[in-house]
Amino acid sequence: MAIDFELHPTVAAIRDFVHAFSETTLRPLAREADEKGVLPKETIKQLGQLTGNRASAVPRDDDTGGERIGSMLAVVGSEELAWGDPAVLLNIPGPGLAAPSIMAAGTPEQKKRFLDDIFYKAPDDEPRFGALAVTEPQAGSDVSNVQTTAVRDGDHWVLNGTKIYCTNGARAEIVVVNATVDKSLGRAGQKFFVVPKGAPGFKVGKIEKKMGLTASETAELVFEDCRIPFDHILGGEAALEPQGSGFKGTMKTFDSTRPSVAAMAVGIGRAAFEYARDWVRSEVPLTARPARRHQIEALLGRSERELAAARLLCWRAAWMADNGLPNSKEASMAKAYAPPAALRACIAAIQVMGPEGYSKEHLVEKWFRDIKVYDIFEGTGQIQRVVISRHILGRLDRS
Amino acid sequence: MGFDLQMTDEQLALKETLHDFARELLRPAARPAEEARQTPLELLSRLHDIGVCAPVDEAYGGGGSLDTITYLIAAEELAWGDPGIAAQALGSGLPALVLGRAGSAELKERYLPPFAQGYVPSFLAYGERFANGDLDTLDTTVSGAKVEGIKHGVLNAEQAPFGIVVGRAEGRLAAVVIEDGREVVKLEEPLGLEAAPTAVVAFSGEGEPLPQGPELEAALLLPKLLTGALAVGCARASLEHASAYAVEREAFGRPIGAYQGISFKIADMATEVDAARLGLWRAAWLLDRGEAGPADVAAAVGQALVTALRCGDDGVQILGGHGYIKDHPVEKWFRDAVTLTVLEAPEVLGDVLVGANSLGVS
Repeated sequence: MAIDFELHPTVAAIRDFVHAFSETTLRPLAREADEKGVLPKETIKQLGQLTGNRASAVPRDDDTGGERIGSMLAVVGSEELAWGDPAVLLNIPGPGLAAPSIMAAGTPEQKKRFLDDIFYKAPDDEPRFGALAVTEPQAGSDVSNVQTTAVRDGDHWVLNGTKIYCTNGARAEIVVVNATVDKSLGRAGQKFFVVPKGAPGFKVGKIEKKMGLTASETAELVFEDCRIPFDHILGGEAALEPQGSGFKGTMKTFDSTRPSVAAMAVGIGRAAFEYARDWVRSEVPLTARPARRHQIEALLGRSERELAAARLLCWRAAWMADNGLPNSKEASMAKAYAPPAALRACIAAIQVMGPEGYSKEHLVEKWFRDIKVYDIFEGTGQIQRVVISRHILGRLDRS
Repeated sequence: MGFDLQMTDEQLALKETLHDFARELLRPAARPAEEARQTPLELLSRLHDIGVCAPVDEAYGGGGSLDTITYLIAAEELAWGDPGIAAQALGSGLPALVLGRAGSAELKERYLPPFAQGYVPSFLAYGERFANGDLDTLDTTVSGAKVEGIKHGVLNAEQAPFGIVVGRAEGRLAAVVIEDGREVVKLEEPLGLEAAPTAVVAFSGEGEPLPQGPELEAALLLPKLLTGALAVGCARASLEHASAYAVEREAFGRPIGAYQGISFKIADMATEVDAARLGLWRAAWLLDRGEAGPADVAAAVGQALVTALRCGDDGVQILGGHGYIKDHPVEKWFRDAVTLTVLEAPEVLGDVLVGANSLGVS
């Protein structure tokens, strides 16, 4: 063991493969998907066929040949896919964010039933999505304030509440939902439930219109006396014991997904940086006013410098996860740093290209709209800073 | 195999030793050295004996050369103790590193054994009035063994038995070991890093040229990485001091660290210190594989300098009035950070180097 920045050969090979896929398949779809706000069904099916219908923020062990490189694969692959197009990326069929939560909190039997049987062993090759619904109108970063309830009724659970901002929530085969079984227990009373499409009392509310990532479905989900079988509580009956999986499972999910989401931000920032760089190479003569060229060089140089720093923070958090090291602080550092750095890179790209930068003729204005949400979803920049500072200072804000 | 951030046992042991040394010896010596505008010789000798300031290969009587990552780990730790004393100790040893990597056999035989025997107050003179850290725009000329130019920020200008002057010859980087032929124009009175006193020196004379070429160009990236590591150590010192203060100091009935105006600054400082260190390690790793270009190093060092400035500023700000007075070290670290940015390519110039490289312009 020694400090080494060379990617594992498998990771490097998959990065190159994913990059080529992203360049030839995702990027060409970017503008039309943004304008229409949706991808054609046939395109989604093709994306599923190309990727084996297994898009997820965290690869499974059997995807890595037993080597402890799953998180590295996730961050490196996420950067390349988001580089192609972040909204199209979220249209690649697979269990998505349902996977890490089921992996973190589910029993072996549930992993088989909800992941293998639905997603990985699908006989008909039809695209299927999974989703994770945590946010509520009054509870974003403050996950402990979740109001959705789950009450046992014989062999069933009855869920009541409203979830918002759920990616792929309307079309998902299963949605993993956190709800409280006992409000008096506070966060310990929160558990995860798997709600299948079409469960009685489960309705899709409005589909959000957003600043960016327009082609990614963001849904409101309403549960009105929604009935699901008792064995849909993740972790099984044991989850109901005092130390059962629940809120901590949510947090564990985010520790594993934050580096990948941060890496997507790096990919978007890099896309904008490279686009502007190539535009300057072909459009701005070397004889341009020196001050103008220096402004361009300084802006692009800053983007490259900061994106390199952001990427290393992502890689470190993933490396720690792969090696079984607790990485809550480091995952939050990646997620706190990368999106603002990528946002600066997108704005720099617009400025470098001037009036062509804000024009819809080019993609940089789209990436600017897309990137903003990376500092908001999967934990805002502010909540990441709360996590980081608590690791350093202790829980002073609770004293 | 593959990406790995685990230090070797040797690196961990060295880091621990240097941390203890920095805490027990450098921290108490920092203010006196600042006021005296010099580092005590006895302290420099003790530092030298650890073997990280001027590492020399066994073939020339030393304890062995260091890979660049290990060198940067050591530099950060010493700078955490005091950036000024670290700049003096490590700056004096830079010629040993550059000669070790880019010197001819003859030059090594002549100039490395002194470093193996004990502390040598030497210098690597490259900064100029208009070319801070930008080796492409040096005005100093080298012609064969002759060197001509005015250098700023020269360590040990009066007492050095020999040192290296960096200039340009026929459009490429060149360096000459000189013993004589220098005149101190004036002693500098810098804003920070007072324990490493510097001078403006006019060089005019003959010396022993180092072989020109890629090895020399790579070796001359080392002082930049050193500046970056000093910046990270300086930034981390500020971060840790401000963090401890934020836990103890109360306002409105709570520790100030309970307020997000303070805790978010600390989170950002910690994140950027880690990112800067990773970037420097990566550049060092590239350098030792023979793959580092000036733009890779400029990006990493630029990130470290930006981090040092931010942490220097926020360290003072978190301590408020206490940060501004000399009872606490944070005001010194802020001044040291600004001084470091002048010593090496300032951030905007660094970004321009990186950007121009991306555009395929040199």
